[in-house]
Amino acid sequence: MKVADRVKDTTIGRSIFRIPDRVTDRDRAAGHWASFLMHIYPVKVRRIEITFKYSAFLGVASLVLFISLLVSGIYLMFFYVPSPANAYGDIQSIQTDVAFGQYIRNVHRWSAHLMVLAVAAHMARVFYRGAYKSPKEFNWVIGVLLLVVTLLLSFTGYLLPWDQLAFWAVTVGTSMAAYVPIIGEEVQLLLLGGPSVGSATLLRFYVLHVAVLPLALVGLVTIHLWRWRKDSMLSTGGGPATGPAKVQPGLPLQASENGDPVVVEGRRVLGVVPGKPATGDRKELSNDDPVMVWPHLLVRHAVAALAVLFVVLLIGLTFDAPLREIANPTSTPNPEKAPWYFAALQELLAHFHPLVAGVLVPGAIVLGLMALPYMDRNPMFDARFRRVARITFTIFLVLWIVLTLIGFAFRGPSWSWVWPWEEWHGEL
Amino acid sequence: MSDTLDRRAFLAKGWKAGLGLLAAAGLWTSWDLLRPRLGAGFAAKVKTTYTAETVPADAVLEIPAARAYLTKIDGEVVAISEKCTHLGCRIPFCDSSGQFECPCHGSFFNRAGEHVTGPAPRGMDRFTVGIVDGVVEIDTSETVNGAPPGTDTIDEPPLGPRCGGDHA
Repeated sequence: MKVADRVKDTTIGRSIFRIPDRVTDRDRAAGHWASFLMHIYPVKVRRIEITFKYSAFLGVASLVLFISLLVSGIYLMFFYVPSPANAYGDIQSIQTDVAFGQYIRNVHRWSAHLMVLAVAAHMARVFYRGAYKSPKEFNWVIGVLLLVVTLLLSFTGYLLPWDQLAFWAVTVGTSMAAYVPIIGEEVQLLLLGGPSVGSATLLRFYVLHVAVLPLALVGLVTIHLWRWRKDSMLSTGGGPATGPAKVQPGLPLQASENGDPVVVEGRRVLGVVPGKPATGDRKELSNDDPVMVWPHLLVRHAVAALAVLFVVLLIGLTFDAPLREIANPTSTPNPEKAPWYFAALQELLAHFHPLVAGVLVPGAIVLGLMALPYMDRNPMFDARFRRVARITFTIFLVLWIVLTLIGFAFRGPSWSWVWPWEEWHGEL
Repeated sequence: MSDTLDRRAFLAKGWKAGLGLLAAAGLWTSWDLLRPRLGAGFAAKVKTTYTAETVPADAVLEIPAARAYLTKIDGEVVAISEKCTHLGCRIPFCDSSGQFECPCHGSFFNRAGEHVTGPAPRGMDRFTVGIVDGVVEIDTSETVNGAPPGTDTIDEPPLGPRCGGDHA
């Protein structure tokens, strides 16, 4: 008997570890219910969900990057005081004095950028898969909120180094808030804690960045995953959506003779559905056939997580996070560039009234995304059969990417047009 | 259910109303506690070292303590706030073009701070100035909103190339 098994076999061990040895599928299912962390996962998912082309594992990637941000962020908090007198110097000493300080800061910065990318890509993938459709509409809405919180986390973190990059990006960002009708100026004052970016702003952004927003994100992610888990066996295959009358969330689906999904009736005991698993003796497996999450999905998630970690740790080794001169309220750098995920907004702000570019457009994007599953009446899931939705979404996506590229790489002093090789591109 | 308000329905409604009130009170209190208490200006009055005669009529003088520029328009000394009326960036003066050029979103203003081009909703704001003991004093406690776009009282076209390049 191995040492671990002997520990588990003591009275104390048995009181801590309730997970059975995973010999049969039934043990594996029971293992999900007995473990706090594992019960994020459903017992079974549809076979197609474990493939790379289904999700590209972008949701897992987002979560892994968030965990990387939590760990690296907590380390950085030990060496950082959020006040204008200390902040910049603390970042400098993190980079020079603190063990692995520069590296951890790099990992934190690149994880943040990659998380914005991963969350956005995850959303696009879910859109093209039609996975926001009934009964998952509200989980899509939570996903939109998660995108907003991710951007807010990035933006509040942007101020903390208290360099020129930070100071002026936040001056512009908070000035945008002032254009919101009626409450705008109050909101701006509340964010700034004073008439302009200063010590109160730094402290407020710090509290938002390390406490309020991460808690909000964890809360939303919990609900997001829980709903994903509850809906995990619902078909989103090529055919019309199965209406809520036919499908009850939580009841697994199996393919019938002609391939249509049917609900398997029956009481669930520890998530195990009585009867033979559908994967049993059929030769042709359908996309909707259930497969056990342990080990099929878990091993893929583990590999995806390791791959993402590998990439971010490697980028952290290769590229240093930028730090400009200390914040100087009497001099705006020229050009002053917003962080890349706001470069499209900055480009719009150069052309339209701030009420339009800074308030109405972003507001319409967020509300439009949230309303999408309720406006889209097309019952099809597959993007091939959703011409209007596919084309509209793609046009907006491409437009946004083009605006981002222009703002990031094609704008120079006084926001004039330059070419990317003229060395004016924004800093990450 | 009867349509009269029985004890259960009354209590159920009471709980909900109470929760609503509590949430509203909490929200208002948080808002009120986090609202900054603002004093007047960052430094009410800033005394400069310039007399009315030494302020140029063809260039600007930066007064960092007041976050403002001094210049002369029609023989009168004016103080122009450095803060862009668009989104709050500090606007530098471009010597070669003789205009203000905002680095953030490319708003341009003439020497009088009047809007020339770009997304700013109005011209640069001004501070009132006074002559105290022979020198110019800028009162930063109050700003006078800049003129609406289209105003051009000095008729000074760009003197030369813009600092941000001419392909804007």
